[in-house]
Parts: sequence; structure tokens; C-alpha cells
Amino acid sequence: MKLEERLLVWRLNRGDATALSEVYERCRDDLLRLAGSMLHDGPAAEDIVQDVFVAFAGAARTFRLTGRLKGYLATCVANAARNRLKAAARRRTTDLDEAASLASPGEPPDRWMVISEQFERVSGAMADLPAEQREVITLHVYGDMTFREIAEWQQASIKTVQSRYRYGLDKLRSALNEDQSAKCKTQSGE
Amino acid sequence: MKPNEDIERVLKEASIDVDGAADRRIRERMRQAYDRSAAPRRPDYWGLAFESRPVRWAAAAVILLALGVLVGQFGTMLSGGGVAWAEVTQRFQSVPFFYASIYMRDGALAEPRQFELWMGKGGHARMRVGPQVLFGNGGQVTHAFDVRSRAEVEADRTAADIIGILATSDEFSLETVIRSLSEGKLLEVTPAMNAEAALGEDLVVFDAQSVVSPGWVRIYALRESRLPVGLRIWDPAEGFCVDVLITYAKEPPEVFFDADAFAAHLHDPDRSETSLAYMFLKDPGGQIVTPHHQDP
Repeated sequence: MKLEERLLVWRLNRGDATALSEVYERCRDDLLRLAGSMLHDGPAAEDIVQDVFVAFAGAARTFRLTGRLKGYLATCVANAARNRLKAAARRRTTDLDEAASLASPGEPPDRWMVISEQFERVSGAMADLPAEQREVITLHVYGDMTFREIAEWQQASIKTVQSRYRYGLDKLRSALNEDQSAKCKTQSGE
Repeated sequence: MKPNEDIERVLKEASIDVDGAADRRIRERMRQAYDRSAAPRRPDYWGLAFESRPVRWAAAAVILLALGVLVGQFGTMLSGGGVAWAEVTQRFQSVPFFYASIYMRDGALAEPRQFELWMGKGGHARMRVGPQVLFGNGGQVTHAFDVRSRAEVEADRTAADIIGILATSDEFSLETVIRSLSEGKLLEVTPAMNAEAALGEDLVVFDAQSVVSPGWVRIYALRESRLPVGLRIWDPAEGFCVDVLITYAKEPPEVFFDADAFAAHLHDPDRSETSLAYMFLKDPGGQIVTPHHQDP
């Protein structure tokens, strides 16, 4: 995989636009899921991923790969998502609990991301996690980043990152199980 | 099942889709950004070789030899121990045909991948990697066949890239190299004799150090004939490694580089995969290399 990514970057450096499409197709869905899970805000997630892809395309001819390509792009998305959350918190205009559902009715018709019911449930449950846990889970699951890489990015120890992952998954499991139970009860008319 | 696998699977299976029209718009924006960034500059192959690691390293190493890079102007500078780098590259240029067995390893613990390359005069190239046999001319892969499925297939991307790099020789001039090297990197990347690394008097060893990574390349050449016989490229940072074994012989018959002749036998049930992989190859020493050793 590493070799393939290096070749992909090499082709980008040489002006091969088909390589750009390959990068896009390889990473698009996971980056959208990553941003969607981190922000629980569909339009904002789309904006960020789009900006990252366009910025990457503009720099692709001189881009030098030092790690994994997907990990690099995931980090860009995560940085942008983190900045957006911080800015929103400063402006006191964002409240994840009150944020519109990702698939809420009335959304603009030209939305990029089409969300499944399952992803909506997952991202909803993810929104209740502490930000650090959410970051670790999304970067590891959707960004394919190792705990070591995430630890560097979060400036924390690997053990801390692993703990965040474990605790985060436990909470997610509980939340999704509760959600499932509630759904079953509703369906059975209880 | 590991403790977290259940919930990880739920996360991975939580899918999304994309709207086609919006997707096309974003692709177009990316394409425009990519096109705008285009700058007319000649490629820096030496830089590519060392910044982009193994595949390019191998191809670039062969290029450096094949094209006599650094010959002339730097030849005297490199003299030492009775053999100059220039003599090695000039000698290599004069051979009508060579075979290179290239092993690439992506990391310290990774399994190596082998590429077998036969290069003749006139831009003819043939390569085998895995089950694929590729034919190239002028830097383009003309045909790629899978000897397992016995069908023409899409060329292995890495193999196609190597053939492509090798064929850039028309634009790969000494001037280009000098220009790319002249950014304060000249001395560092000039292969220099490393007497300590030679195991015997029959062998001379040249080293070149990358200035953009800890990587280095080592070239082994025969003292008497001046022919390079081996290359090693190594990146101590990540354990990337490329080993190239080079052998020489008189040029094989034209049919060896003929993709149509190869294709004509592709469905022959009497031919094994081995026979197809090395079809029309003759060992100069008379050894049998395929079951169909009676091939022309």
C-alpha cells in the first residue's frame, strides 16, 4: 500500500491527473465520514473535505509524501474540523446537541454527502463523546492512522490515546445498543 | 472476535454515498486547481530518485548508468584507485543488451518484490513482474500479458512506471542533471569511490549520498571490464531497499521483444507458466531456462 501511494504521488508530481482521481476515489468516503463524525454537521463536513481536496490538488505537483497519504489527508481534515469546532465554540454559535441532524429534512438539494440511516445513528452517538475520544476513533477507523500517529497529532502518549479509543468505543457501544433497544420497543408498540 | 471488533465493524459499515452532480463539481474544482498549479519545468530525476523512494530509485539507478550521467565533466573528479566513474558509465553505454533483476523492499520487514528487466538497443524493453510479462517500446508499455490467466491485461502500474522512466532518456541530458544538481547538491550526489566497501581487488565500489534523505546508492563494478554488476539503494530511515543485479550478454533474437510473437503462443496448452514467462529467452551460456528450449 505504501509503495502504491508513493507511486500515486509520483504520478501527481509528474502531472498525471488520473492519479488525482484515484486519490479522490480512495479517500473521499472515509474523509467525509471522518469529518461527519467529528462535526456531526453535514454541510460543514462537506465544506472541509472539499477544501482539503482542492488544496491538495493545488499542491499535488510538489507534494512530498513522508507518511501515508490517507493519514496525511485525514490529519488535514481533522485539523480543519478541530479549528472549526474551536471557532464555533468561541462564537458560542455551535451546540452539538442542538445542531441540525445530518440528514435533516429541508437540507439544500445540492448536498454532496448522502447519509445512510446507520451513519446518522453512528455520528449521532459519536457527537456525545468527548472530543479527544471522538478524534481518536475517527482518525483510527476512517483515517487508518496508527495510535502512534494519532498520539503525535494529539500530543499525548500512546497509552492515553489507546485508553481514549477503548473508553470511546465502550460508550459508543452502549449508546448504540440503547438506541437499538429503544427502536425495537417503538416498533413493537411498547 | 477481539473485544472492539463488533463496534469497529458497525462504524466501518456505516456507509455514506455521494450525489453525482456535486461529486462532478468537486472533481472539476480539483482538476482546475491541479491544472493551475502546473509550472513548466523539467523533471528532476535525481531528486525523484531519492525523494520518492524505491521504484524510482531502481529505475533512476539504471538510468544513471545507462545514460552515462556525470560522464566527462566530472569524470576526472571521480578518478581514484585506477578506475573512474566515467569509465564505468561509458562502458555500460556500450553494451548492446543487459538484464537487470530488481528487488524492491518497501520497509525493513516487508517481503521484496522482484522485477526482471531486459533492455535492448532501440528502446525495446521486456519485463516480468509476478504473473505479468510486459513489452515496452519508447517508454510506453505496448502490451501486458498475464501468464496465469493467459490474457492481455492492464499493465502493472509499477512496472509501467519503471519502463516509462527508463524511456525518458531522450529528454534526460547531462545538462538537465547538472541543472538539477547545481542547487548546492553537486558534491554530495556525485558517486565517489569507496575503497573500504570493496571486498576484493576485482571489484570497485562507488557511493553516492542523497542530500534530501539519509538514503544512499552503491554501485559495484568490475575493475577489469569496468562493467557495473550490482546496485544497492538503501534508506536507513525506513529500511527501504532496492537491490539490482545486472548481467550482460549478446542481444537476444528480435522475437524476444516481439509482443505479437508472444501473444501467438499465449493459449498454447503445451506451454507452462514458466515457459510463457521466459518465452524466447536464451541463456548465453547454453543452459536451459524454459521447458521449450527449442524456441528460436
